[in-house]
Amino acid sequence: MTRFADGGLIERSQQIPFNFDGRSYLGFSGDTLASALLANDVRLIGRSFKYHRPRGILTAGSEEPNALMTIGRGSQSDPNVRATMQELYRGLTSASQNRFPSLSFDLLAINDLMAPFFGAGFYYKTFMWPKLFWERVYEPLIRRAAGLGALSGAADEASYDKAYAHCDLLVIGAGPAGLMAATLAAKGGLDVILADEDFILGGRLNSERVEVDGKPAAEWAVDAVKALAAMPNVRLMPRTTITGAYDGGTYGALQWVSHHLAEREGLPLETFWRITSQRTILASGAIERPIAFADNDRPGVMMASALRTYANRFAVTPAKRLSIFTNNDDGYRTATDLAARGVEIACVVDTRTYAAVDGDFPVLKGAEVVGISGRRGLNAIVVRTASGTRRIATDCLGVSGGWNPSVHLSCHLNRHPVWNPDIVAFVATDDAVPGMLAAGAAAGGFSTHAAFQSGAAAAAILLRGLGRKVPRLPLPKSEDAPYVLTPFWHVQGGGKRAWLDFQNDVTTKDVKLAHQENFRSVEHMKRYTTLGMATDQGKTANIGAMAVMAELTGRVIADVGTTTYRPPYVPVALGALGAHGRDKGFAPERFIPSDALAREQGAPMVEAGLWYRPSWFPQSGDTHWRQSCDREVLMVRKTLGITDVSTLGKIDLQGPDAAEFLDRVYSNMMSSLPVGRIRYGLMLREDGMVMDDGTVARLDKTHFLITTTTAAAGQVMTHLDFCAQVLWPELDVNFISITDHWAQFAVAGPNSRVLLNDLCADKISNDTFPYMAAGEVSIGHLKARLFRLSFSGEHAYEIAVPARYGDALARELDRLAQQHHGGWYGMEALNVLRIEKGFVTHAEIHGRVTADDIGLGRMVSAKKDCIGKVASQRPGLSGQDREQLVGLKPVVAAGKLLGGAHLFNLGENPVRTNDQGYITSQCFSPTLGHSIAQAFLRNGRARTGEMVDVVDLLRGVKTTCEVCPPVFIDPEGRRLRG
Amino acid sequence: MVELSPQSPFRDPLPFKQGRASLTENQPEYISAIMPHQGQETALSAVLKKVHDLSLPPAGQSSANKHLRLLWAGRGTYFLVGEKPPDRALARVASLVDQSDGWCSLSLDGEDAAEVLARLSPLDLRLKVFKPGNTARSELQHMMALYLRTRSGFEIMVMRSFAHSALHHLKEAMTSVAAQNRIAG
Repeated sequence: MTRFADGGLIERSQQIPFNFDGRSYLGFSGDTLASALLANDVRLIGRSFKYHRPRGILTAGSEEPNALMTIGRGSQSDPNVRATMQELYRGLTSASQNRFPSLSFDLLAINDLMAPFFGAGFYYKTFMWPKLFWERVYEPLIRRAAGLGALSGAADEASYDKAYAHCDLLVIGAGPAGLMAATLAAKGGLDVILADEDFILGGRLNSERVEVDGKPAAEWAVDAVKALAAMPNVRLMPRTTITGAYDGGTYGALQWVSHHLAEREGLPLETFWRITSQRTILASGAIERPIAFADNDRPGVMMASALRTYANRFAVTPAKRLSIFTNNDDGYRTATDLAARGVEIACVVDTRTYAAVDGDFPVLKGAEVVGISGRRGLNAIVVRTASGTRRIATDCLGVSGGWNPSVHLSCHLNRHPVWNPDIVAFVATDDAVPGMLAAGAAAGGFSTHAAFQSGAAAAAILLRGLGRKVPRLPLPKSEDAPYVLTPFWHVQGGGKRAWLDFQNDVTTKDVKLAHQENFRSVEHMKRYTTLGMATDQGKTANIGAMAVMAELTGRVIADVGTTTYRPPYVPVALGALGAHGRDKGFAPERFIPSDALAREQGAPMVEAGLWYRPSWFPQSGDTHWRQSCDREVLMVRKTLGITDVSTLGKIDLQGPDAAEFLDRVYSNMMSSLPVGRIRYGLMLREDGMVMDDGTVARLDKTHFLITTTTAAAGQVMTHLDFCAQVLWPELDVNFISITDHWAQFAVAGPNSRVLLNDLCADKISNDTFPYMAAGEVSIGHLKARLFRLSFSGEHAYEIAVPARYGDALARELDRLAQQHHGGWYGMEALNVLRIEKGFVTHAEIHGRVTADDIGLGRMVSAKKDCIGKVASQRPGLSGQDREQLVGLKPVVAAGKLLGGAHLFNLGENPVRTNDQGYITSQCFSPTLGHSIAQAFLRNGRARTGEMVDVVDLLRGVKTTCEVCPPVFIDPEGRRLRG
Repeated sequence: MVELSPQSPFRDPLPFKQGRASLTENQPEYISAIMPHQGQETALSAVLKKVHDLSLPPAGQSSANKHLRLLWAGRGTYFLVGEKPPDRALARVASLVDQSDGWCSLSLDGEDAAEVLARLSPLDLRLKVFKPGNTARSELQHMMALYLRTRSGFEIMVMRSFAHSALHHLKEAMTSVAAQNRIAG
């Protein structure tokens, strides 16, 4: 065991069993998977991306490049989880990735021996020919060899949540700077959200052996968090990573809700937050940077600060005999902390000759680590000093190359960080994201005191800026050690590879190669080598590589510049981004008033926009939808049918200028419509094409009811709003949707009036209620609206009642219809009825046709202007070159007509250049006993009686048809008026 | 002679409770859209005062008396909600449209009501921003909704045909928030 007997922020009374690669282990509550593995002396935890090199845990935080695990099994498995972020829970199952057949014996480790061939740009140079081989051979092979964890292949069973939050101040990171800033801002009266990736707030206070106000830092953090939690204006968000900064003070945040729980019933796995904040303090800390040297990726080489975290927070160390490689004073802290825990310190290798710090352990100054021995676990390092090289036995090497402030989030709006030569690192610039200030290590203040001080200072600036008083809050007393370092990025010389990017297997050699091949912009280097392009976004890699580039090009790092930082800061599951969007969450459902009855009758539903409408009403013995559809069509033609038309858009339009307004938006005249009458109308777009068709009923002198198609209801409403608010604000007109207020049913067929006279208290006749009349009737004591309209070509009505009575009316209509051997008809029959009658839908008015194209050119009134009129008169929008609406009937009665089929002159080759038009709607007409279609045909109206070939090249069907007018039944309209 | 019987817009049983939030049907007898004619806002306000003892609220707010509430419901639109339809005297200065069956109304109450709604609406629901009596037009999980902040929570109105989806999403969010609060202790 490598667990210390005491100390740490773990709960030793709670032992937690878990599993890694099929073996069982024990950890404690408070452990991460990484700390628990180290406590169990597991050092080899994965294989690298490209070369399949054995890897161990490198860090203790969110930046971890090596320890990626698949957590869970089967459909609940989650690949590429950072073991350093995964809290331990009872029964956790984890598996290493990218190895075959096993972690300790990986066949593809051969890649490492082939490394000379696999350098940067290898694919581009090698897999060039033959061309087809790339897709079929090389890529699948490479994909298999290189990679991260795999998805299970089953649908993700986890649920995800999304949520919005708003605050005055968002504090990113709950280390000393974040805690201080949040406390001061909250005491100053701001609504504060404090978010941190960790499950224990406190940041490095939980990792260091320092004192704050005379108590251990971790204890101080607990008290500070408790005080914040007690304030009503503070929201603490542990386990929450701010993933991106966006416009308008909006931030994306990923909360791990139940990753740490064995029992997740009813809980989302993650919540994706959109946080809107007036101001932000970036207290995201800093990430320790590695030094590149030969074989520096071997298991046992770790970050020095991570070793302190494991020792101080988790009471764990992988080291029995530790050495340190550092270019700054921080490395000594690790040696001191672990020595105090009884770990033998082999040596501290300091690249500096002048270092003023010392310890009770061997220190080699002006020295470098030039080699490593131990493939699956470090057993010795080779150190070069002025006096020569020597081998030092050690099982763990802590590396500290200095610290890089976590500036990522400050750069998301495309501002770059600035170089601070004092700390040899990039720091965030204030207001790089408007309203954001950096504090603590993110701003380059590395001591605990500096963190407290800059956290408080940032909060004070923001409080004042928001017109608030800054409350008095004494700074906690804490260490203020100077940060002394000499830049040292990589060990020179030696033939072996030195790693910069652990996750994407990029070495100093690759960067040199990129430079040699003239990829000299940092962005080109990144793409050529893939440096920083792995799931960790190069958090431990990028600056080191820039230093190598700077050296090669004779520039300073500040001039080399950084690559572009982009969201997300950490990997975000697509499930979390798409939360609430699965299944029924994708789009809301709109149900018609007779929905329950239609479903009781077994009608399959079809989506029309968001609406669900019955397709047909099957009866016992029906084996095919066509049987139901044909029966319903004939029923309407012979007796009567009823159908729910509540989905049609209904807009109530009123005001002194209502009639004028309608004249301008409809192509035909509406102001001349008498009260109590209905008129069919066309609306054009500004470009002269037909936008929608519908009806206008005049209920009173200044009161109209207009209807739209189901599909275009929203579009028409938007259009009217635009016209009223922008084009003619001087017109006094008000309108509002009443689609949902009215349940409306079509009653169609020769017996429709008989049914209505059974239903309504008022009796109607052809004289009192002629075709295109609108009025009010009573059903019992209920007032209903009645419209004599027809979309079937039959004598028909639409009757409307307030929606709460919709279900009752549907049932009453059902009862009455049966008395006349009638019943419900669905969307299929409705479509057949209107094609037989030659009415158009959005299959015909699809956005590229003019009124003239559909044979309604005369509906564009010559007496007045309207939207789209001028544009519709442009040359080329009418005449014999246009495709015009026609009907088609097959020459042979059994001839098949298929939707989307194209029209060709008889006997001509069916190729694009001979194209004469296309079918828009087609059906089998039970009334006529053969298929019919509506189609657009070049100069079609003049070609009545002509034969054309109708060819469906996709399905290989060719049918010769006769061109006819699009109205197949009752062209004189006798039935309508009967 | 047949008399049709009315039906609730909600198919599923209400009230529904989860954790510290409850959802109840809150369908008023009347919902009437009042849209003032051009330049008639002041006149409308005066008539409202006279016939309903209500003032015309500014955008994003509402006014109320014992029987009726007048909600700002969008540009140039107010919803009169309650036991009575609007007095015909209002028709001189405004367009009146019956919306009683066009919208369905739910009350979401309890300590966690705002947490639940934060799952479905991007509104800033902080009490100091969205105060009792405030109204807002916003989305409720892809549905357009009208919100009113009350002393105990929220009244949420969506168009009637969306009733089932609204209920489904609210219940789902309530269940999830309750479960999340359980683990938060």
